[in-house]
Amino acid sequence: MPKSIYGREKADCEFNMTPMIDVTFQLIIFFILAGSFASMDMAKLTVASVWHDERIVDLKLKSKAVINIAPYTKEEIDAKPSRKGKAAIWQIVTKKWGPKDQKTGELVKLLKGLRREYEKRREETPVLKDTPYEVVLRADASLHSSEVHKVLRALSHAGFKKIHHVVLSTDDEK
Amino acid sequence: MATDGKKKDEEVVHYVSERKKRGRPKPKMQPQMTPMIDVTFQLLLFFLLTMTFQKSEGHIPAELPADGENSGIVTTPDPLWVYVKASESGPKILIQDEHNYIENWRGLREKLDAKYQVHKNDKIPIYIMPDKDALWAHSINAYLQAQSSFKIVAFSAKLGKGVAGQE
Repeated sequence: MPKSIYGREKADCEFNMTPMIDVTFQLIIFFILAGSFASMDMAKLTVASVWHDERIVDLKLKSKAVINIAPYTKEEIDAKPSRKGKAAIWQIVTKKWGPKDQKTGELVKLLKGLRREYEKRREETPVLKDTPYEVVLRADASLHSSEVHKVLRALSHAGFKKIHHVVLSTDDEK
Repeated sequence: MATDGKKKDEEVVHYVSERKKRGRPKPKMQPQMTPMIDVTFQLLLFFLLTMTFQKSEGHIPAELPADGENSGIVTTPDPLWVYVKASESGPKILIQDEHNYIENWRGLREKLDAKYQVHKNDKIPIYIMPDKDALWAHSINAYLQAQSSFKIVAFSAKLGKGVAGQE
């Protein structure tokens, strides 16, 4: 005989939290391990993509000054098209120069100062004996070459012989 | 007259037999999940909204001449000039003594390789002369491609005005 349905309890619908919490914690652990806070040295710009070459290596310099040359934003260029290709910001360590302040003399002075400080520290710290002070140049891909050349000239005047151009590797041949 | 001998604020304790005590389930201690899940979701939302992924950047080492001029580089034998023209689209490169523009990086590398095979001299310097308005991406690419064939590569201290051969 079929069982009567009148005495049956209503089925409880419960939401199983366990797998949801598991996945949530997985995501959090991923973000905590994969994330890192942006360094003050890294201004927001798009470095040049170069056709793939095995000589492009990851940057792992211990003692370096990072110079960022950032362009104007799209909105600023739309407002004034003559800004296209021009450098909006020069940034080295925490010092920033706007377009009106970009004087190579001041940049040369700052670079020489940084180098002198490092050389002093190098004399006092034997570990740094074989580690020269080097400069890393991060210039946006859309800048005109003349803008970057101003900085290269300043570096040359400040006595830096070796610099490192930051690039992205790409398979695009154009 | 005292009734049951108890004070008013004393708790009433009813007698519970040993048998009943054995049968009673033990009280469970459970951590409160709700605030933990709240905080977890807050953290997750924070990471989702603030995280941006960045491509890992490499670098090309380069050397600068002394004092802003090409004076540090020995110019015998004669240098080979590579002109990077201003172009909004793809690259537009002209090698000294050539008449056709090169419009891709593989082509430039092959041309420079061919030049090297003709001279087979590591002391020939390559000077990259970009136009003032040539994109930096094109200049640095040309620099890198030149380095694949020649040992001495440098940017020209002066920039092009837009016509090949003029400084």
